[in-house]
Amino acid sequence: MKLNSLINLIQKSIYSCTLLLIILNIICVAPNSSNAFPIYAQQAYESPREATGRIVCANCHLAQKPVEIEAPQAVLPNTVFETVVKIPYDSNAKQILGNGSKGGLNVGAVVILPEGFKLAPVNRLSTELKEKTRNLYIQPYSAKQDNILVIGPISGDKNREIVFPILSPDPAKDKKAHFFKYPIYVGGNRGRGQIYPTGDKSNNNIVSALSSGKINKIELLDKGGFIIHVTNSSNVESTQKISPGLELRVKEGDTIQLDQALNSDPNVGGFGQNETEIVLQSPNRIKGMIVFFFASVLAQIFFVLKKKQFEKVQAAEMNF
Amino acid sequence: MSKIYDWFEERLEIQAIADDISSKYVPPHVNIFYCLGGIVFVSFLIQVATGFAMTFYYRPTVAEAFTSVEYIMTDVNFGWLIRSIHRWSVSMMVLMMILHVFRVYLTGGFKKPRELTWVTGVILGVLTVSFGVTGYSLPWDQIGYWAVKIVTGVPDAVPVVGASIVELLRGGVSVGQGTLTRFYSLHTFVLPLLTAVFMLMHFLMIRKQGISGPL
Repeated sequence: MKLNSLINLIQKSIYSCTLLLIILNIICVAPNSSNAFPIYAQQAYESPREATGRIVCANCHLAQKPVEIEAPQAVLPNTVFETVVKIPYDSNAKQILGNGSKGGLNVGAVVILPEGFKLAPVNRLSTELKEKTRNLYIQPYSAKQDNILVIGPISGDKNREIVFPILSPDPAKDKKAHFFKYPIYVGGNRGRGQIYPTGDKSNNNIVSALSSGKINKIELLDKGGFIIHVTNSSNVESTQKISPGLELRVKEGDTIQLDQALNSDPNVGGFGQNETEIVLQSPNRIKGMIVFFFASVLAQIFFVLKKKQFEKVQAAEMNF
Repeated sequence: MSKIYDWFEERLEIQAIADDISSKYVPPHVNIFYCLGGIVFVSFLIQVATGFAMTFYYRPTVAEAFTSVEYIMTDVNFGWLIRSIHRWSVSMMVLMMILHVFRVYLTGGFKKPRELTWVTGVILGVLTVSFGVTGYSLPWDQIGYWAVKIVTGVPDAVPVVGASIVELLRGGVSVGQGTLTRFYSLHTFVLPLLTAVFMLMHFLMIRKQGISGPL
């Protein structure tokens, strides 16, 4: 009986310990990993590409900026190749951070490969490719979709060109893969977003006036940021808080309208998407084509030779 | 063998046909550029053969056209080869046709008495381009869909009757199933028939008048 209760006690303590560990884990670790912006998309969308072709990152990263992708025109089956996603931006650009201070930009990217294509395993990479992708942690979008790869946020200073090592499928082994021309879609982002998945605006935004009226006071707060006091036409005063780090475009005494921009746009980043095509090429088809061309040329040469021979015979007969 | 020959000779006088074919000599001024017309014809035959094979699997409906083309390219045995040949050979045909026009123009092959050969040739050129336009849209992919939308919208610029022509081409006010059906019918029935007729005229006139003279 005593032993039984002791075991019970031990079991209970183990349970509670485990539970505590899990909770601790959620509190400490989870926020760090969900700090990664692509995780927002991974949590909210089953597929990162909407039916209209828009990549969902654009739902929170509202500014449009260019992005490029470089991929081979054609690849052979079961081969590792690299695609490069280029996310260009001005190297001097600084963005506003969550706490209002300025910092460097981060970048992130999503590459939507055709089904069957996936991230190349490390043991298949060449030394050169290993070196190029050394500090990149690329992961599949979800357990179900290992043909969609995401990365980020990573420091943009060194990673304006991100190399994705990719393994092509082999139609001989994978019945779903075919020798075909496929599209590759890519989305690339630099800088913080404007909206959180909850719908809240980030501070990387233009703040618009909540009411019309005259600004009678702009209060500078100790910990940064402002409080704007606005008196409207019926002499009712209202206040609006502006978060730290933003540059005001209005001053005391200005008359403002509802929804007027109160600060200059702090956003220096933006998202862009692009697409390219890749052919999964069969080596046998290439060989067949070379043989065909060779045979055609040979046939033509023999035709010419036969004609020359025939002309000689004609000439000989005419000489009689 | 000679029995079969005699049987046909008795009824169809095939010896005359054989003599006609084998008695034509190629004049010395004829060079390699005189092959271009023949290459266009060979390309056309390839188009007929491969296109015919694809009608077995292609489905001319808005919902199934694209997937059926995909099916041809991935699952059908040698479907990729048939469709790729069709796709590449059309470019070859148009290119060779343009070069053939240049050859005829530069050697004066269109002059009297061969004006009608030239006219049927121009009609064949128009038919070839129509083949290209209608065939381009049949896969009903993005590029084909927007191409048909733009091309069928062009006559809208014609005063008075423009809108009616557009409606006639599209089989409706907007591009849809009606348009695809029309284009499929044109591509696989009307245009091949017309092309065959005009090609026959083109060739018979060449047989009758012979190759045009030297410069």
